[in-house]
Amino acid sequence: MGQEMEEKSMGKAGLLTLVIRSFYLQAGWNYESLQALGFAYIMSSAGRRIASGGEAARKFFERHLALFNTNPVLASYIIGATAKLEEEHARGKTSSAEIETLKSALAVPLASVGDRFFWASLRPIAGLLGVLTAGVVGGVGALVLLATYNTFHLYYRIKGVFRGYALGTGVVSEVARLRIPSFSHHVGWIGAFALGVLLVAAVHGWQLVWRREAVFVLPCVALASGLLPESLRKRITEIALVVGVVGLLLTAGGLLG
Amino acid sequence: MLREISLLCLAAGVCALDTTAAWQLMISQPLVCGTLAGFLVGFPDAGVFIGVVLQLLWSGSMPVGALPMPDAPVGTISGVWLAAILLGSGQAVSTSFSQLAGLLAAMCIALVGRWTIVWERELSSRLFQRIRARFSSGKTVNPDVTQALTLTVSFLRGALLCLIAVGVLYAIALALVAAGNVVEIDYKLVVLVVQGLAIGVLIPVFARRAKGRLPAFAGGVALALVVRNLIG
Repeated sequence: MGQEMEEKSMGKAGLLTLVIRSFYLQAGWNYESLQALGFAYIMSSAGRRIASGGEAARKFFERHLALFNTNPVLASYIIGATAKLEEEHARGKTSSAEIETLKSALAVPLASVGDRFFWASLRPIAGLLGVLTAGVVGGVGALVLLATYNTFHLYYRIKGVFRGYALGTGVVSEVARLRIPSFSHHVGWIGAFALGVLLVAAVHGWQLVWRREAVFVLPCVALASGLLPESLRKRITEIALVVGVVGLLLTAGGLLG
Repeated sequence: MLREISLLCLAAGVCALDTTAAWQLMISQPLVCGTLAGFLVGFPDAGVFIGVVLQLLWSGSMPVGALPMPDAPVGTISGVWLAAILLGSGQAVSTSFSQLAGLLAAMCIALVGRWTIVWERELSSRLFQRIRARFSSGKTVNPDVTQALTLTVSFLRGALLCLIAVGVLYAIALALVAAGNVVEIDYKLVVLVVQGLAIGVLIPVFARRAKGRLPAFAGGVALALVVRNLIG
Protein backbone atom coordinates (compact mmCIF):
# COMPACT_ATOMS: atom_id res chain seq x y z
CA MET A 1 0.00 0.00 0.00
CA GLY A 2 2.82 2.35 1.00
CA GLN A 3 4.66 1.60 -2.24
CA GLU A 4 1.48 2.28 -4.25
CA MET A 5 1.05 5.64 -2.50
CA GLU A 6 4.64 6.54 -3.35
CA GLU A 7 4.07 5.63 -6.99
CA LYS A 8 1.11 8.01 -7.16
CA SER A 9 3.07 11.07 -6.12
CA MET A 10 4.33 13.83 -8.37
CA GLY A 11 7.79 14.23 -6.86
CA LYS A 12 10.20 17.05 -7.70
CA ALA A 13 10.93 15.73 -11.19
CA GLY A 14 7.21 15.61 -11.90
CA LEU A 15 6.73 19.19 -10.74
CA LEU A 16 9.66 20.37 -12.83
CA THR A 17 8.07 18.68 -15.85
CA LEU A 18 4.88 20.63 -15.09
CA VAL A 19 6.88 23.89 -14.97
CA ILE A 20 8.48 23.16 -18.35
CA ARG A 21 5.17 22.11 -19.91
CA SER A 22 3.43 25.19 -18.50
CA PHE A 23 5.31 27.26 -21.09
CA TYR A 24 3.16 25.55 -23.76
CA LEU A 25 -0.25 26.27 -22.23
CA GLN A 26 -1.45 28.28 -25.21
CA ALA A 27 -0.10 26.05 -28.00
CA GLY A 28 -3.49 24.77 -29.06
CA TRP A 29 -5.40 27.98 -28.30
CA ASN A 30 -8.75 27.77 -30.10
CA TYR A 31 -12.20 29.35 -30.14
CA GLU A 32 -13.93 26.18 -28.87
CA SER A 33 -12.10 25.53 -25.63
CA LEU A 34 -9.53 28.38 -25.40
CA GLN A 35 -6.52 26.98 -23.45
CA ALA A 36 -7.98 23.51 -22.79
CA LEU A 37 -5.77 21.62 -25.28
CA GLY A 38 -2.65 23.08 -23.67
CA PHE A 39 -3.92 22.41 -20.16
CA ALA A 40 -4.68 18.79 -21.04
CA TYR A 41 -1.16 18.46 -22.48
CA ILE A 42 0.43 19.87 -19.30
CA MET A 43 -1.64 17.67 -17.01
CA SER A 44 -1.05 14.55 -19.11
CA SER A 45 2.48 14.36 -17.67
CA ALA A 46 0.92 14.30 -14.20
CA GLY A 47 -1.65 11.79 -15.44
CA ARG A 48 1.07 9.35 -16.46
CA ARG A 49 2.49 9.47 -12.94
CA ILE A 50 -0.77 9.53 -11.01
CA ALA A 51 -3.64 7.90 -12.88
CA SER A 52 -3.64 4.18 -13.53
CA GLY A 53 -4.05 3.35 -17.23
CA GLY A 54 -7.12 2.53 -19.30
CA GLU A 55 -10.42 4.13 -18.37
CA ALA A 56 -8.94 6.23 -15.53
CA ALA A 57 -6.38 7.77 -17.87
CA ARG A 58 -9.04 8.46 -20.49
CA LYS A 59 -11.28 10.16 -17.92
CA PHE A 60 -8.30 12.11 -16.62
CA PHE A 61 -7.56 13.56 -20.04
CA GLU A 62 -11.21 14.21 -20.83
CA ARG A 63 -11.61 16.09 -17.52
CA HIS A 64 -8.95 18.56 -18.55
CA LEU A 65 -10.32 19.11 -22.03
CA ALA A 66 -13.10 21.27 -20.58
CA LEU A 67 -13.10 24.99 -21.44
CA PHE A 68 -10.27 26.77 -19.64
CA ASN A 69 -8.87 30.28 -19.85
CA THR A 70 -6.67 32.34 -17.57
CA ASN A 71 -3.47 34.36 -17.56
CA PRO A 72 -0.76 32.04 -18.93
CA VAL A 73 1.84 33.02 -16.31
CA LEU A 74 -0.33 32.75 -13.21
CA ALA A 75 -1.92 29.58 -14.59
CA SER A 76 1.01 27.89 -12.88
CA TYR A 77 -0.85 28.15 -9.52
CA ILE A 78 -3.81 26.27 -11.02
CA ILE A 79 -1.51 23.68 -12.61
CA GLY A 80 0.20 22.94 -9.29
CA ALA A 81 -3.03 22.81 -7.30
CA THR A 82 -4.75 20.62 -9.91
CA ALA A 83 -1.83 18.18 -9.86
CA LYS A 84 -2.19 17.94 -6.08
CA LEU A 85 -5.94 17.32 -6.32
CA GLU A 86 -5.46 14.74 -9.07
CA GLU A 87 -3.02 12.96 -6.79
CA GLU A 88 -5.65 12.92 -4.03
CA HIS A 89 -8.30 11.85 -6.54
CA ALA A 90 -6.18 8.87 -7.52
CA ARG A 91 -6.07 7.93 -3.82
CA GLY A 92 -9.85 8.32 -3.63
CA LYS A 93 -9.76 11.38 -1.38
CA THR A 94 -11.19 13.94 -3.81
CA SER A 95 -13.93 13.85 -6.41
CA SER A 96 -13.48 14.94 -10.01
CA ALA A 97 -16.13 17.64 -9.43
CA GLU A 98 -13.86 19.26 -6.83
CA ILE A 99 -11.01 19.41 -9.33
CA GLU A 100 -13.23 21.09 -11.92
CA THR A 101 -14.58 23.56 -9.33
CA LEU A 102 -11.07 24.54 -8.25
CA LYS A 103 -9.99 25.16 -11.84
CA SER A 104 -12.95 27.37 -12.69
CA ALA A 105 -12.84 29.18 -9.33
CA LEU A 106 -9.21 30.21 -9.79
CA ALA A 107 -9.18 30.93 -13.52
CA VAL A 108 -11.08 34.25 -13.43
CA PRO A 109 -9.30 36.01 -10.52
CA LEU A 110 -5.88 34.92 -11.77
CA ALA A 111 -6.73 36.15 -15.27
CA SER A 112 -7.72 39.53 -13.87
CA VAL A 113 -4.65 39.96 -11.66
CA GLY A 114 -2.24 38.48 -14.21
CA ASP A 115 -3.47 40.40 -17.23
CA ARG A 116 -3.32 43.71 -15.36
CA PHE A 117 0.19 43.08 -14.11
CA PHE A 118 1.90 41.21 -16.94
CA TRP A 119 0.15 42.65 -20.01
CA ALA A 120 -0.98 46.12 -18.94
CA SER A 121 1.93 47.04 -16.65
CA LEU A 122 5.10 44.99 -16.88
CA ARG A 123 5.23 44.51 -20.65
CA PRO A 124 4.85 48.21 -21.61
CA ILE A 125 7.26 49.31 -18.86
CA ALA A 126 9.86 46.73 -19.92
CA GLY A 127 9.33 47.88 -23.51
CA LEU A 128 9.86 51.56 -22.66
CA LEU A 129 12.98 50.78 -20.61
CA GLY A 130 14.27 48.75 -23.54
CA VAL A 131 13.53 51.56 -25.98
CA LEU A 132 15.27 54.19 -23.84
CA THR A 133 18.32 51.95 -23.49
CA ALA A 134 18.30 51.18 -27.21
CA GLY A 135 18.40 54.92 -27.89
CA VAL A 136 21.82 55.14 -26.30
CA VAL A 137 23.42 51.71 -26.64
CA GLY A 138 21.49 50.08 -29.48
CA GLY A 139 21.10 46.32 -29.18
CA VAL A 140 21.44 46.27 -25.38
CA GLY A 141 17.87 47.64 -25.20
CA ALA A 142 16.52 44.24 -26.24
CA LEU A 143 18.41 42.60 -23.37
CA VAL A 144 17.04 45.14 -20.89
CA LEU A 145 13.49 44.38 -22.06
CA LEU A 146 14.04 40.62 -21.74
CA ALA A 147 15.69 40.87 -18.31
CA THR A 148 13.03 43.20 -16.89
CA TYR A 149 10.09 41.11 -18.04
CA ASN A 150 11.48 37.66 -17.41
CA THR A 151 12.67 38.35 -13.87
CA PHE A 152 9.01 38.51 -12.81
CA HIS A 153 7.69 36.12 -15.42
CA LEU A 154 9.95 33.21 -14.56
CA TYR A 155 9.61 33.83 -10.80
CA TYR A 156 5.82 33.48 -10.90
CA ARG A 157 5.88 30.60 -13.41
CA ILE A 158 8.12 28.46 -11.23
CA LYS A 159 6.83 29.56 -7.84
CA GLY A 160 3.20 29.09 -8.91
CA VAL A 161 3.53 25.39 -9.70
CA PHE A 162 5.35 24.59 -6.45
CA ARG A 163 3.07 26.75 -4.24
CA GLY A 164 -0.05 25.43 -5.95
CA TYR A 165 1.07 21.86 -5.40
CA ALA A 166 2.07 22.48 -1.78
CA LEU A 167 -1.25 24.12 -0.90
CA GLY A 168 -3.78 22.15 -2.99
CA THR A 169 -7.21 23.66 -2.39
CA GLY A 170 -5.55 26.08 0.04
CA VAL A 171 -4.19 27.91 -3.00
CA VAL A 172 -7.56 29.70 -3.23
CA SER A 173 -6.81 31.74 -0.10
CA GLU A 174 -3.20 32.22 -1.28
CA VAL A 175 -4.53 33.70 -4.53
CA ALA A 176 -6.93 35.92 -2.59
CA ARG A 177 -3.95 37.29 -0.64
CA LEU A 178 -1.76 37.57 -3.71
CA ARG A 179 -0.37 41.11 -3.72
CA ILE A 180 0.90 41.48 -7.23
CA PRO A 181 1.24 45.20 -7.86
CA SER A 182 -0.32 46.79 -10.92
CA PHE A 183 1.58 49.67 -12.46
CA SER A 184 -0.87 50.22 -15.28
CA HIS A 185 -1.53 53.85 -14.32
CA HIS A 186 2.23 54.50 -13.99
CA VAL A 187 2.85 53.41 -17.57
CA GLY A 188 1.60 56.78 -18.82
CA TRP A 189 3.94 58.61 -16.44
CA ILE A 190 6.95 56.63 -17.57
CA GLY A 191 5.97 57.23 -21.20
CA ALA A 192 5.61 60.95 -20.51
CA PHE A 193 9.03 61.03 -18.83
CA ALA A 194 10.58 59.23 -21.80
CA LEU A 195 8.89 61.65 -24.18
CA GLY A 196 10.39 64.62 -22.31
CA VAL A 197 13.89 63.14 -22.48
CA LEU A 198 13.60 62.24 -26.15
CA LEU A 199 12.11 65.58 -27.10
CA VAL A 200 15.10 67.48 -25.72
CA ALA A 201 17.48 64.90 -27.19
CA ALA A 202 15.89 65.22 -30.62
CA VAL A 203 15.74 69.02 -30.63
CA HIS A 204 19.39 69.28 -29.62
CA GLY A 205 20.48 66.59 -32.04
CA TRP A 206 22.08 64.20 -29.56
CA GLN A 207 23.89 61.24 -30.96
CA LEU A 208 21.02 58.88 -30.43
CA VAL A 209 20.94 55.72 -32.48
CA TRP A 210 17.78 56.93 -34.22
CA ARG A 211 18.61 60.66 -34.10
CA ARG A 212 17.29 61.43 -37.57
CA GLU A 213 14.35 59.12 -37.28
CA ALA A 214 13.25 60.71 -33.98
CA VAL A 215 10.57 62.31 -36.07
CA PHE A 216 8.77 58.97 -36.07
CA VAL A 217 9.88 57.81 -32.66
CA LEU A 218 8.51 60.83 -30.74
CA PRO A 219 4.87 60.56 -31.84
CA CYS A 220 5.08 56.83 -31.17
CA VAL A 221 6.27 57.44 -27.59
CA ALA A 222 3.39 59.89 -27.14
CA LEU A 223 0.94 57.27 -28.39
CA ALA A 224 2.48 54.55 -26.25
CA SER A 225 2.14 56.68 -23.13
CA GLY A 226 -1.58 56.99 -23.78
CA LEU A 227 -1.71 60.68 -24.54
CA LEU A 228 -3.97 60.55 -27.55
CA PRO A 229 -7.71 59.82 -27.45
CA GLU A 230 -8.74 56.15 -27.38
CA SER A 231 -10.49 56.50 -30.75
CA LEU A 232 -7.17 57.39 -32.40
CA ARG A 233 -5.21 54.70 -30.57
CA LYS A 234 -7.52 51.99 -31.92
CA ARG A 235 -6.45 52.88 -35.45
CA ILE A 236 -2.79 53.39 -34.58
CA THR A 237 -1.32 51.00 -37.16
CA GLU A 238 -3.36 52.48 -39.99
CA ILE A 239 -2.46 56.07 -38.95
CA ALA A 240 1.21 55.12 -38.70
CA LEU A 241 1.03 53.58 -42.17
CA VAL A 242 -0.31 56.84 -43.64
CA VAL A 243 2.39 58.89 -41.84
CA GLY A 244 5.02 56.42 -43.03
CA VAL A 245 3.88 56.58 -46.66
CA VAL A 246 4.08 60.39 -46.57
CA GLY A 247 7.56 60.16 -45.04
CA LEU A 248 8.62 57.61 -47.66
CA LEU A 249 7.44 59.87 -50.47
CA LEU A 250 9.27 62.84 -48.94
CA THR A 251 12.40 60.75 -48.54
CA ALA A 252 12.39 59.58 -52.12
CA GLY A 253 14.07 62.54 -53.81
CA GLY A 254 13.06 61.45 -57.29
CA LEU A 255 9.40 61.56 -56.41
CA LEU A 256 9.78 65.11 -55.12
CA GLY A 257 10.96 66.06 -58.55
CA MET B 1 22.14 34.10 -49.12
CA LEU B 2 20.61 30.68 -48.43
CA ARG B 3 22.08 30.77 -44.92
CA GLU B 4 20.56 34.20 -44.32
CA ILE B 5 17.12 33.10 -45.59
CA SER B 6 17.22 29.99 -43.40
CA LEU B 7 18.26 31.94 -40.30
CA LEU B 8 15.62 34.64 -40.73
CA CYS B 9 12.83 32.14 -41.44
CA LEU B 10 13.93 30.17 -38.38
CA ALA B 11 13.89 33.37 -36.30
CA ALA B 12 10.43 34.29 -37.66
CA GLY B 13 9.11 30.83 -36.81
CA VAL B 14 10.57 30.85 -33.30
CA CYS B 15 9.31 34.38 -32.59
CA ALA B 16 5.87 33.47 -33.96
CA LEU B 17 5.81 30.60 -31.45
CA ASP B 18 6.75 32.95 -28.62
CA THR B 19 3.83 35.30 -29.35
CA THR B 20 1.15 32.95 -28.05
CA ALA B 21 1.87 29.27 -28.56
CA ALA B 22 5.01 28.80 -26.50
CA TRP B 23 7.24 30.31 -23.79
CA GLN B 24 6.05 33.95 -23.99
CA LEU B 25 9.53 35.09 -22.95
CA MET B 26 8.93 38.26 -25.00
CA ILE B 27 11.48 37.44 -27.68
CA SER B 28 8.51 38.15 -29.94
CA GLN B 29 8.51 41.82 -28.89
CA PRO B 30 9.42 44.03 -31.87
CA LEU B 31 12.45 45.53 -30.12
CA VAL B 32 13.92 42.08 -29.43
CA CYS B 33 13.19 40.39 -32.74
CA GLY B 34 14.05 43.55 -34.70
CA THR B 35 17.44 43.74 -32.99
CA LEU B 36 18.00 40.02 -33.54
CA ALA B 37 17.07 40.24 -37.23
CA GLY B 38 19.28 43.34 -37.63
CA PHE B 39 22.30 41.45 -36.32
CA LEU B 40 21.50 38.40 -38.47
CA VAL B 41 21.41 40.45 -41.68
CA GLY B 42 24.38 42.64 -40.76
CA PHE B 43 22.45 45.93 -40.34
CA PRO B 44 21.93 46.24 -36.58
CA ASP B 45 20.96 49.93 -36.70
CA ALA B 46 18.11 49.26 -39.12
CA GLY B 47 16.93 46.41 -36.87
CA VAL B 48 17.00 48.56 -33.74
CA PHE B 49 15.22 51.47 -35.44
CA ILE B 50 12.38 49.36 -36.84
CA GLY B 51 12.14 47.45 -33.57
CA VAL B 52 11.96 50.63 -31.48
CA VAL B 53 9.21 52.25 -33.54
CA LEU B 54 7.08 49.11 -33.64
CA GLN B 55 7.67 48.43 -29.94
CA LEU B 56 6.30 51.87 -29.09
CA LEU B 57 3.51 51.61 -31.61
CA TRP B 58 2.13 48.34 -30.25
CA SER B 59 3.08 48.57 -26.60
CA GLY B 60 -0.53 49.38 -25.71
CA SER B 61 -2.02 46.33 -27.42
CA MET B 62 -2.71 43.45 -25.06
CA PRO B 63 -2.81 39.77 -26.11
CA VAL B 64 -5.92 39.05 -24.04
CA GLY B 65 -8.58 36.49 -24.95
CA ALA B 66 -9.65 35.98 -28.55
CA LEU B 67 -8.50 39.41 -29.76
CA PRO B 68 -6.24 38.88 -32.79
CA MET B 69 -3.21 41.18 -32.51
CA PRO B 70 -1.02 42.39 -35.37
CA ASP B 71 1.62 39.73 -36.02
CA ALA B 72 4.40 41.93 -34.66
CA PRO B 73 7.37 39.50 -34.71
CA VAL B 74 6.92 38.22 -38.25
CA GLY B 75 6.21 41.75 -39.47
CA THR B 76 9.28 43.14 -37.73
CA ILE B 77 11.66 40.45 -38.98
CA SER B 78 10.32 40.75 -42.53
CA GLY B 79 10.63 44.55 -42.37
CA VAL B 80 14.23 44.43 -41.17
CA TRP B 81 15.02 41.86 -43.82
CA LEU B 82 13.55 44.06 -46.55
CA ALA B 83 15.47 47.10 -45.28
CA ALA B 84 18.69 45.06 -45.30
CA ILE B 85 18.06 43.82 -48.84
CA LEU B 86 17.53 47.41 -50.02
CA LEU B 87 20.59 48.68 -48.13
CA GLY B 88 22.78 45.93 -49.51
CA SER B 89 21.33 45.92 -53.02
CA GLY B 90 23.90 48.33 -54.46
CA GLN B 91 21.07 50.57 -55.73
CA ALA B 92 21.08 54.30 -55.00
CA VAL B 93 18.88 53.87 -51.93
CA SER B 94 19.22 56.10 -48.90
CA THR B 95 19.33 54.67 -45.37
CA SER B 96 16.19 56.59 -44.44
CA PHE B 97 14.29 55.26 -47.45
CA SER B 98 15.33 51.66 -46.71
CA GLN B 99 14.41 51.88 -43.05
CA LEU B 100 11.08 53.53 -43.78
CA ALA B 101 10.28 50.97 -46.46
CA GLY B 102 11.13 48.24 -43.97
CA LEU B 103 8.97 49.87 -41.31
CA LEU B 104 5.95 50.18 -43.59
CA ALA B 105 6.43 46.63 -44.83
CA ALA B 106 6.56 45.45 -41.22
CA MET B 107 3.24 47.10 -40.43
CA CYS B 108 1.54 45.73 -43.55
CA ILE B 109 2.85 42.20 -42.96
CA ALA B 110 1.79 42.39 -39.30
CA LEU B 111 -1.75 43.28 -40.38
CA VAL B 112 -1.85 40.41 -42.88
CA GLY B 113 -0.34 38.17 -40.23
CA ARG B 114 -3.26 38.95 -37.93
CA TRP B 115 -5.55 37.03 -40.30
CA THR B 116 -3.17 34.08 -40.47
CA ILE B 117 -3.34 33.95 -36.66
CA VAL B 118 -7.14 33.73 -36.90
CA TRP B 119 -6.73 30.93 -39.46
CA GLU B 120 -4.33 29.10 -37.13
CA ARG B 121 -6.82 29.32 -34.27
CA GLU B 122 -9.61 27.99 -36.48
CA LEU B 123 -7.37 25.08 -37.40
CA SER B 124 -6.83 24.40 -33.68
CA SER B 125 -10.61 24.53 -33.19
CA ARG B 126 -11.07 21.82 -35.84
CA LEU B 127 -8.36 19.74 -34.15
CA PHE B 128 -10.15 20.12 -30.84
CA GLN B 129 -13.46 19.02 -32.39
CA ARG B 130 -11.76 15.90 -33.78
CA ILE B 131 -10.31 15.08 -30.36
CA ARG B 132 -13.73 15.45 -28.74
CA ALA B 133 -15.23 13.19 -31.41
CA ARG B 134 -12.57 10.54 -30.77
CA PHE B 135 -13.33 10.66 -27.05
CA SER B 136 -17.03 10.33 -27.71
CA SER B 137 -16.39 7.16 -29.71
CA GLY B 138 -14.34 5.72 -26.82
CA LYS B 139 -10.91 6.12 -28.43
CA THR B 140 -7.84 7.65 -26.79
CA VAL B 141 -5.67 10.54 -27.95
CA ASN B 142 -2.01 11.23 -27.30
CA PRO B 143 -1.84 14.88 -26.15
CA ASP B 144 1.87 15.09 -26.99
CA VAL B 145 1.08 14.49 -30.65
CA THR B 146 -1.66 17.15 -30.79
CA GLN B 147 0.66 19.60 -29.04
CA ALA B 148 3.50 18.92 -31.47
CA LEU B 149 1.07 19.42 -34.36
CA THR B 150 -0.17 22.82 -33.14
CA LEU B 151 3.39 24.01 -32.41
CA THR B 152 4.53 22.93 -35.89
CA VAL B 153 1.63 24.81 -37.53
CA SER B 154 2.47 27.93 -35.52
CA PHE B 155 6.17 27.75 -36.45
CA LEU B 156 5.51 27.14 -40.13
CA ARG B 157 2.97 29.97 -40.27
CA GLY B 158 5.58 32.46 -39.03
CA ALA B 159 8.44 31.16 -41.17
CA LEU B 160 6.44 30.89 -44.41
CA LEU B 161 4.68 34.23 -43.97
CA CYS B 162 8.07 35.90 -43.54
CA LEU B 163 9.52 34.19 -46.63
CA ILE B 164 6.54 34.95 -48.90
CA ALA B 165 6.12 38.53 -47.68
CA VAL B 166 9.76 39.46 -48.21
CA GLY B 167 9.77 37.86 -51.68
CA VAL B 168 6.74 39.88 -52.77
CA LEU B 169 7.84 43.13 -51.14
CA TYR B 170 11.37 42.93 -52.50
CA ALA B 171 9.99 42.87 -56.04
CA ILE B 172 7.74 45.87 -55.26
CA ALA B 173 10.60 47.79 -53.60
CA LEU B 174 12.94 47.22 -56.54
CA ALA B 175 10.25 48.47 -58.92
CA LEU B 176 9.74 51.53 -56.68
CA VAL B 177 13.48 52.23 -56.60
CA ALA B 178 13.71 51.94 -60.37
CA ALA B 179 10.69 54.19 -60.93
CA GLY B 180 11.46 56.80 -58.28
CA ASN B 181 15.22 57.27 -58.77
CA VAL B 182 15.60 57.35 -55.00
CA VAL B 183 18.51 59.43 -53.78
CA GLU B 184 19.64 60.80 -50.43
CA ILE B 185 17.96 64.15 -49.76
CA ASP B 186 18.43 66.69 -47.01
CA TYR B 187 16.23 65.24 -44.32
CA LYS B 188 16.69 68.03 -41.79
CA LEU B 189 13.77 70.18 -42.99
CA VAL B 190 11.29 67.31 -42.74
CA VAL B 191 12.58 66.46 -39.26
CA LEU B 192 12.29 70.06 -38.06
CA VAL B 193 8.76 70.55 -39.43
CA VAL B 194 7.41 67.35 -37.91
CA GLN B 195 9.18 67.92 -34.59
CA GLY B 196 7.66 71.37 -34.44
CA LEU B 197 4.24 69.89 -35.10
CA ALA B 198 4.82 67.20 -32.49
CA ILE B 199 5.81 69.75 -29.84
CA GLY B 200 2.98 72.09 -30.79
CA VAL B 201 0.30 69.42 -30.72
CA LEU B 202 1.44 67.09 -27.97
CA ILE B 203 2.17 69.53 -25.15
CA PRO B 204 -1.38 71.00 -25.07
CA VAL B 205 -2.71 67.44 -25.22
CA PHE B 206 -0.57 66.69 -22.19
CA ALA B 207 -1.77 69.66 -20.24
CA ARG B 208 -5.42 68.88 -20.90
CA ARG B 209 -5.52 65.12 -20.50
CA ALA B 210 -2.53 63.86 -18.68
CA LYS B 211 -2.82 65.13 -15.07
CA GLY B 212 0.06 63.36 -13.29
CA ARG B 213 1.87 62.85 -16.57
CA LEU B 214 2.65 66.54 -16.97
CA PRO B 215 5.10 66.62 -14.01
CA ALA B 216 6.64 63.40 -15.32
CA PHE B 217 7.07 64.98 -18.74
CA ALA B 218 8.56 68.13 -17.16
CA GLY B 219 10.89 65.91 -15.12
CA GLY B 220 12.08 64.19 -18.27
CA VAL B 221 12.71 67.52 -20.00
CA ALA B 222 14.54 68.86 -16.94
CA LEU B 223 16.72 65.77 -16.60
CA ALA B 224 17.62 65.83 -20.28
CA LEU B 225 18.51 69.54 -20.11
CA VAL B 226 20.68 69.02 -17.02
CA VAL B 227 22.50 66.12 -18.67
CA ARG B 228 22.90 68.18 -21.83
CA ASN B 229 24.48 71.06 -19.90
CA LEU B 230 26.74 68.67 -18.03
CA ILE B 231 28.04 66.95 -21.15
CA GLY B 232 27.93 70.06 -23.31
